[in-house]
Parts: sequence; structure tokens; C-alpha cells
Amino acid sequence: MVVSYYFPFGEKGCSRLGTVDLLGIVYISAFLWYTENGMDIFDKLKILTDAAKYDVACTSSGVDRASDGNGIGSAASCGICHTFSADGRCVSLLKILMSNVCAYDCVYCVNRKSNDVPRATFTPREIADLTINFYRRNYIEGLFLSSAVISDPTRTTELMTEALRILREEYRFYGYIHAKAIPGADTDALYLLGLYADRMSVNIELPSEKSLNLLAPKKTRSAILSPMGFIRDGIRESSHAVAKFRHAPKFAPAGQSTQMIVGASGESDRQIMNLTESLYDKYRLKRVFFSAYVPTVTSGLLPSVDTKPPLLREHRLYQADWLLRYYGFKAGELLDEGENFNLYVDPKCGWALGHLEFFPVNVNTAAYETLLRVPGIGVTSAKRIVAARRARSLDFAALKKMGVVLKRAKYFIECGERNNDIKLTESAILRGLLSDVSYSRLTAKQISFFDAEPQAGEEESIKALLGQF
Amino acid sequence: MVEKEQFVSPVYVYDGSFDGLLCCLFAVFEYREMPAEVVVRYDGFLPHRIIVSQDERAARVRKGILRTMGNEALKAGERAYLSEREGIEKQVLAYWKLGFSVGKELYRRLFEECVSAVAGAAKFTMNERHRILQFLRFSDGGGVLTSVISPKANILPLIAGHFIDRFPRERFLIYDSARGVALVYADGNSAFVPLEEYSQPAPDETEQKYRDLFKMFYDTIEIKERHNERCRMNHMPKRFWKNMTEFTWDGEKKARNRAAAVSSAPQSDDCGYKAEETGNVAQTAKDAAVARIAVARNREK
Repeated sequence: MVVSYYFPFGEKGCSRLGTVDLLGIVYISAFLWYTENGMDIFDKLKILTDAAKYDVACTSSGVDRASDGNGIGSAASCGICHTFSADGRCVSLLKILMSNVCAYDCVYCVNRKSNDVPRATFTPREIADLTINFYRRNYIEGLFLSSAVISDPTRTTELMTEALRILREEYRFYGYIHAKAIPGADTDALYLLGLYADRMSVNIELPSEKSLNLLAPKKTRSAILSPMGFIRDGIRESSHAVAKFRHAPKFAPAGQSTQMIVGASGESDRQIMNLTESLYDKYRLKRVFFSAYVPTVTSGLLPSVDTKPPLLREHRLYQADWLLRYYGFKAGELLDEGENFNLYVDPKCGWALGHLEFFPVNVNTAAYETLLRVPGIGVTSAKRIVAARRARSLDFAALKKMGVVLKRAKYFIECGERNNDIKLTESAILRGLLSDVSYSRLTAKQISFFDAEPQAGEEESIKALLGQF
Repeated sequence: MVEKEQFVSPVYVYDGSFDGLLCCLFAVFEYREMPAEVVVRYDGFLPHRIIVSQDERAARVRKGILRTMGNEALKAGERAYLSEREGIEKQVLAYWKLGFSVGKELYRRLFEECVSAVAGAAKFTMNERHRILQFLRFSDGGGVLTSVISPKANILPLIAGHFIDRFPRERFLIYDSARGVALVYADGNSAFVPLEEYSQPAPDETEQKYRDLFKMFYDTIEIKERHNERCRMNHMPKRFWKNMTEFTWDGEKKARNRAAAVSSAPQSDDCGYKAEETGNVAQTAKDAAVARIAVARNREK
């Protein structure tokens, strides 16, 4: 770390910008204003929303902050989704690019230099005004700002910082801001951005270096991981400083996240889970997002344009991601080398079916961690069981009354006395959990559940069988 | 009035306020009985007891609850009460009564009927509250932010703090059209005002611009290849849509076009979401709602 945390900050820790090259910003803003003049705010918002929509993260969680009574906004630690788009995704933040005028040419990206799409660039003030006006109407929880690389990464970062500075200092905005770090930017510029933002993220883009070299030749693994490491260190130092001095500047207090595209290259789910796990361990990430590859580009290197996005696979990866973060599972437990998740049952159920010797679990004596491994019992139910069994011993009726859902759990638990109606065998459980159609499909093709390997294209019909997710 | 010793447990008739409910609990201990029902108005033939709210009694009960089972039980009871579910008052009384005998162990007795009923109703209220925090939309009319909501639970007292904290320098009005009450905030002061009817002013040019911008943003952010109507409705039930900017825009545009086409006709109110007719809200029920809210507000202070 080259930046000290004795940073110039003004009243209430809000005014923190001191060393950004303001002249440079004025120059670039004037330049952009000149080139983009004549395009109205509607056109810009349309182009730059359309260009930003593939970014997954739209969470507004992780910080709890009240306004000082003078400004506008607050942040709730649980996060608030203000609307849901017609694809069912949460819209919490005004998710836009600063600009889609890109200097890079990544094969999978709609904004690549060689693609013929309308281009636009917001001025920092336009972004700030739009954010405030949406925010006070309760349309959004804050701002998600990303950008294509305008000329060079550092300049782009400085422009983004300026938009955030106007929000935080001029409007005294206390809402949520998620800023994307542009790989290759100067660390000083990055640090300033992090002082205004709540969460930062660097997209890891693809799950392996090989795919990265193939599809995004200008982005290297180290160029992505080094800002990630820088942000991790910044967050660590800032949290130490805040512990010592109450008004020490906070650097990305809601942590950092990343995302990767699934289905554009040939990695297995095991590889993706391993990568996810090491990102949580080594880079202390708050979240890893997966994005099912939506073909927008024709290229020999990519799946064909009529490929359906692998939504069910994405869903299974998210389920497994929860298992890593909240349920104490390790990537190696869930999958063998080179394996993919079974699309018929969720990863936790899949794990349980492979470890029947672990069950049944006695709800009256099992440790909290053991309860968490039961399919159908989540964090809430496990906590309820642990609290309630101190008052008296529990039976199935009591569990039902407490709101523990037994549909799946009943195969894996006992309450002192064994439930004789339920057989603990793989086929009996599968028979109970899957619908008739789904079960016959699964058994028609294989002898054991663990041979299941649904073909490409079959996925959509399975999705229909399992219901929406 | 009924006699002290009898076999049929009486119906309690109270004034609908939270303090009134606390006084019901006082009566439960005073007469050593559990009411068959707790209602605001009773026309039946069963013996009934009219519970009159008394500040001093309510304060005693509140203090007792805080002492024996803590703030959480008081809060859970209040939230369950605000859910306005059928028959929840009786469950709340049973919940607190149980709390007086077992103390803090109340929180572990999740398998008891009254505990799970109160927890369920409180959760329902808090979910409804969260939905309103998500889907409430303000319109800026001459510097005042206005909004109309129609939640299933009486959550107005529970959202006041959130918006006051968030917009300390704004002036705003949130109208609960289902209960005929508005939360009004200006210059650091807030109040709950009973309003028979309220409709938002027609949008001016700036307001219309931001509505159109947001609608356009909303339509653009969708990834068409992932279209999933069911998923959207699960997260955002349709009953909220009528008060949301991103869904009312089409209606407004049509109204505007119509108004422009028939210029001789009187200008229609193209404000999109006119406040729902409350019409037949009985005066008594409304007064009760206002009283409850006022009580909740006092407690917040």
C-alpha cells in the first residue's frame, strides 16, 4: 500500500477528494461534452443502460448508515430491491455505464471496439443528477457505475470518481454506491474511487486464464487480480483505521464482489467452484456472481448464437455458492474433479444422496452445523430448532408448527424415534422428491442417479419440470 | 357486563387501539379468564365485556411485559397486532399471558400455537413493510413528494422512521388508501392525518421527464433472452403495480394523447394513479386506525 490513511477529509468524513488531477477531469469532461453534445439524456440513458444490463451484481446490502440529517439517503444493511425487471432480476441500483466508448476488443463483449453499436458517454454531473432524482422518488437504492475503457483505465476511473464526488460532497448523498474498478488503473485513482464507493468489484470475466487469453486478449489474469488484491488490502487497512479513529475514511465498507460468465468457455462446475472458493478465501470477497452466457456475438471462439443461456446451471452454481458461504461446505465435497452439478436435484440434496451414511440426523441432539447439512433445513430453520429444543424435545408435529418445511427434510431427520414410513435409500428419496415425469426421465437413461448427465438442450424441459426458479 | 364467575368465556370488545389491547390483557388477569374472542364491534348474543382503554393500565401492562419478557415480545405483539389478521388479538393476548408465566423462555417455545401465530403475523407485517419500502413511488409535485399505497397490513407507523431518516430535508406525504390515513412530514415534524380521499396532483414537466426516464430504464434493463414472467411476479406481486411508476406510464401516455386529440373536451386527469376510492370506510374503523397510529408514534418518540 502506497497510500496512507491520513487522508484529507472534511467535516463528517464526507469531503475526501484532495489529490485527484482536477484539471485532467475538467479537460476530459469538456472534451466529452463537446463530442457528445446534441445527444439528449434519454438517448444516453437508453444506450448506457442497455450496455450495462449484463452486469449481474445489483445488491445494495452490506452497509447500515443513517444520513446526518442534512443530506439525502441512507443505506439498509439488508438491501432493498426496488423493482424487478421482466426477466425476474432485482433492480436495486441505477445500473449504468459511464461510457460505452471502449478502447478494448474483447470477443464476448457487446461494447467491444469493433462492434457497430451506438456510443454515448455521460458527464459526471448528468450521472449525479439522474441518481438523485431517481433516488428521491424511491425508484432506486443508489448507483451502480461501471464503464468501458475511455482512452485509458486511469482517466476512466477519475471520471467515475468525479461523478461519485459530486454525489457525496455536493448532494451529501448517503445512499449506496457500487463502483466497478477498471483493471489497469493507477492505484491512487482506484483508492480515491473506493473512498466514495460502498462496494467495489473487478470482473474476473471468465473462469480460467486459458479462456481469458482466448476471448479477452487485452485482459490478463494478473491485470484483474492485482486490483482485486489492492482493494482487499485497502478494505483491511481501512477497517483497522476505523477501529482506531472514528472518523477515519472508510474504503469500500460493503466489501468487494466479482462476476464471471458461465457457459461461454469449457470449464466444469468443479473448476468454477474451486475458483469461487479461492476467491472467497484469498481475496475476502463478499460475493461471487455467475452470469449465464447470453450469445450476442457471432464468433468461431464462442457458442453459436442460437444457444440458450444455461440458466439452470447458473441457478445450481448460485445454490452451491450459498453452501460455501453459509453452510460450511467445501468445493471439494460437492463435486469430484471435472464434474458438473446434477441438474435434477440441488447441490445440497445431491451431496446428501451421496452421503446417506451421514443420515438420519436427530434434530434433538445434532449440532447446528450438522442440521445445516440436512436438505430442506436452512439457516432459519436450524436456528429455530436449536432454540426450541432447549424448551422441550421436538417431534414432527412441533417442527411443522415451528415452520420447518419437511418436504425434503423428512427423509433425512429423525426425532428420537425413527419414522418407519420413510426409507433411507437413494431411489426411494428420489422417487419422493422428483415429479413422476422427471423421475422417469432420470431413470430411463441410467442405473444410478450419479450417472446423470443431462444433454445440452434438455435443460429447458427440466426447468419446466422443476418449476421456475 | 358479565358476572365474575361463569362457564362461558366472554367476548372482549375493545376500541381497536394498541393501548386497548394492553388493557384487554389487564382484564385477562383481573378476571382470570381467557376471552373467546377479541373484537372491535360485537352484535352477537354471547356475553361480552367492554374494555375501556385507560392510559394508566396500559402503561402498567407495558412495563410488566418489558420486565418479564423484554422488548422483543412487546414488539412482536405489536407487529402481529398491526397485521390486522382475523382473530390475531386473541393470539397476542395468549402469547403475552404465556410470557408472564415462562418469562424469556417464551422465545424458545416456537411450537406453541400462540407463539407461532404471533411470529407468523409479525413476519407477515414486516414482509409487507419491506414490500412497501421496495415498491413505494414518490411523485414530486411542487417540491412535495407524494405517494399512495394500499398495503395489506397497517404498516404506515412502521415505515415512517425509514423515510424520515432517508429524506430529512424533503417534505413528503404517504397516503394509505386502504385505511384513509396519511403520513405527513415537513421540516422535522411528522404527523398521521386522517384523510377521506386523496389524489396526487398531475405531474409537471420535470416530474414527467423522470417518470419517462425511469420507465425507459426499466424496460431497457431486461435481458430479453432471460424473460421470466413468473419470477417477476413472485418477487413483485401484481397488486403493487397500480401504484408503481414503471407500470402506470402507458396509461398516462394514452390519457395524454387522448387529451391532446380532443382538445375541446375537458382536460382529463392524467395523473395515472388517482388515489383509490375509500368511500365506505366506516368512521369508527378509521378513528380506530388513527388512534392506533398515534399510539405507535408516541412510542417511537
